Amino acid sequence: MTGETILIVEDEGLIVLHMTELLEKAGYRLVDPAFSVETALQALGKAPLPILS
Amino acid sequence: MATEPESPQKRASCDTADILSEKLLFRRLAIVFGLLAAVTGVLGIFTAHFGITFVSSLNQSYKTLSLSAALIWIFLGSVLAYQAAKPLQRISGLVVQVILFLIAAVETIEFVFTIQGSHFFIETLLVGIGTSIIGPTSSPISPAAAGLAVLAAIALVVIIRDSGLPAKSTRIPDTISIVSLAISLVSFTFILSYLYGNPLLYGTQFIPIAFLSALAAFFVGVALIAAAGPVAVPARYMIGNSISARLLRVFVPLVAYIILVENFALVGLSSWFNIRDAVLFSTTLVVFILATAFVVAKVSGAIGGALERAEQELVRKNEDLGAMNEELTSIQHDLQANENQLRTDLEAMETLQKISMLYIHEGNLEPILTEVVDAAIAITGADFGNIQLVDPELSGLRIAAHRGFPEWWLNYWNSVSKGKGTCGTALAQGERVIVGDIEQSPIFIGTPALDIQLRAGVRAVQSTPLKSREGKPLGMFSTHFKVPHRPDGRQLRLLDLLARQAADIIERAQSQEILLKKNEDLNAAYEEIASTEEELRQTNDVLLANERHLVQKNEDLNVLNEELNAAHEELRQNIEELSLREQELTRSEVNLREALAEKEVLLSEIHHRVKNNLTAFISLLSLDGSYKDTDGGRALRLDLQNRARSMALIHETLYRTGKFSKVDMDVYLNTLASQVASSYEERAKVRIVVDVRDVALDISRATTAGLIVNELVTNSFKYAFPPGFDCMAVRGEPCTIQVSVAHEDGTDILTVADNGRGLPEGFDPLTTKSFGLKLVNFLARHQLRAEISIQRDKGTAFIFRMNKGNI
Repeated sequence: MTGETILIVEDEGLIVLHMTELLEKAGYRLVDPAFSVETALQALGKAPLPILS
Repeated sequence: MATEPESPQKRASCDTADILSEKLLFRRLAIVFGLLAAVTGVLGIFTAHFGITFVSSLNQSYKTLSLSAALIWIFLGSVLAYQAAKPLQRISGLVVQVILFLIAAVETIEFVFTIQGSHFFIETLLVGIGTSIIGPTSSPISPAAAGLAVLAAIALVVIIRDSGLPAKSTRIPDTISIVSLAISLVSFTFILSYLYGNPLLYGTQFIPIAFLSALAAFFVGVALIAAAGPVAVPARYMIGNSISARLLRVFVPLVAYIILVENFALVGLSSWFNIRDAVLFSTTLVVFILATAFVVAKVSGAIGGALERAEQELVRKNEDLGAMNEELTSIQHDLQANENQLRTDLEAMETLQKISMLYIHEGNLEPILTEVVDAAIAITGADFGNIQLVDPELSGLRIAAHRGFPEWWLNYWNSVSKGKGTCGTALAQGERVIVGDIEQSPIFIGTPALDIQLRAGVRAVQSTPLKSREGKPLGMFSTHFKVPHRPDGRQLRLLDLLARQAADIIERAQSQEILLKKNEDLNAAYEEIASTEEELRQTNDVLLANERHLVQKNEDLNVLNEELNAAHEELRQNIEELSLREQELTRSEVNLREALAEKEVLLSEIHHRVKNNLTAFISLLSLDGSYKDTDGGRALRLDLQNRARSMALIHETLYRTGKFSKVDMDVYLNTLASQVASSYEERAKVRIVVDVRDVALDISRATTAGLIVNELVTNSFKYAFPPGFDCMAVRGEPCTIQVSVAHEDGTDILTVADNGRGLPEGFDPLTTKSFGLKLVNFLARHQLRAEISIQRDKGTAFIFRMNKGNI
């Protein structure tokens, strides 16, 4: 599981901050979080990611 | 008769009836002699056929009538009789003329042949035919008969051609008549030669003419003379009532008769008594001369006596006529005188009548009065005359009309006053004054008026006053004479008439003048009325036009009105519909308002609840005493409580301001800054300035901004103003924390600054591990999408540029 890249999609900044800290501590690589579905799809268009099942 | 144009007939006679009766006589003569000629021709054929030789008692061997001659005389005689009875028509006339021409031509040729002793073939042929008809005594035509036939035929052609045409001259009838006379005389000579028993041409180389042929030629000649008419010579001289014609009518036949009788008697007696003695001849001749003279004397005596009686009668009648003429002349004189008198009077009366008929007014008064003067002059035989009018201004007389006076004379009398001269005297006396001779009259003797009158040539004068019907004097009517004279009673009566007429004229003229004046006034009034009428008419026209215009407008308006009514109806329906909708809307609005109020109440309640929850959480933190044992715990508790307050304050601001979608940043940040400051002791020396102008943010960004402001203001209180830092000394101003939000080109710019000691050297607030700044950094970039810049020249200033479109 280590080394997986995660895109956080969340409009509440504090939650994003908290999740980022938790996930980094757990050893995940994080790309810039998205604050809406549109920006998330844009980010996915640029750099395709494996989707969490 | 006298007015008719000069014509030959007129010279021959002076009576149309005579001419007509003579024409008829001549026509009858032509018929009789033409028939005689034809009968003679027929008789000739018969006698020759039956062997009866005419005048056979004289000589049995005399020539018989040739067939050609007989036929010619029968034809000519018949045509002459027919033409005289009834002129030939155009076609038949032409046919007859052609035949006559043929006869003339054939007989001319025969004449030439027979003189040379031979015959033309036609004559030979006719002799042959004659032998079979007449018998062995048939003979060829004599050249004498042929010549006479030629002349007669041509004459007859001319007669037929000229019949029916108007006679232009007597030349053609004269010529025919003379030729015919020649024919008659020649044939008569032949007849006489037979009668004397010694016919002509016998024993010569020429064929003699038969007795009956000569007789027929004679008849034809006489018929031709008759056909030529009474206008031809010699008949022309023997007709009419002139003495010469009468004498000719008596003497010409008489002489012919006497000579013929004398010759027959002489020849007969000498033959009877077989006298051959010259003495006896002479004696017989003397006896006949005496007898002739006796007869002529008797006839002349009878005619002369008749003429004398007629002359005596004429003289006597002439005398009677002279006496009657004298009587007539004297009667005529009387009549002339009476007529002249009557004519003068009539003319004067006609003038008067004409004058009375005239339209009289002031303008033509003078010429009319002049005519009255002329009439007076004509009636009285005067040389001058005038009419004066009474001039009320001069109280005298003024000459209104005159005849025959010079200018200076008029000027003198125009200035005469009452009592002067005849007229003045007559005016003063009020009745007529007659001056028979001014040189003898006391009116004039010794006055300058006498000289004036004499210079003008006046010797006598009468003046008749002109008075109105009421007797008011109007003027004076005077006539003047060059010789001493007194008008007689008739003239004076006529003058009275004229004076009456003149007075009436003057009176009428004066009345007319007044009438004219009134008429003019009336005309002026009429014109005024007419002009007013015209104005009224024009006004009326204008009104009518306006009315028409208005009617048109009214119609237009009616149409519009109907349209409006329709529109109004539609509108009313719309309004009703709208009214219904409005009611619905009102109901909806009420519902909505109720719903909104309910929603607001709910939102307010929710935000109140969230704030209370947060406040409760803050209280929990304070109540939990575990935090106050360490500095770190107290600091954490303070940080947490401040962060929670910044959130609770958002909800409080929302329900306090009553706005739930946007947060009023002015209210919010002021309250927030005060709350942060209240938890630090440094607040006493630090001034907090919040400068937010009319900015409202949505809840999410307002919360984020509130957290950022909370962190930075807290940092400023914690680190910017350490004890011993003198703001006035370092910055030249009191210690200040400034929070501001401003608009710039659609971008909200949030600034949090202090004028404290500033960040330490080498400290990068964007990469620091400090939670507060890390939070600020993260929230600003990710939540606000803001660009962060930091100014360090005067303390520390964080500037966030928030692009609205990036949210």
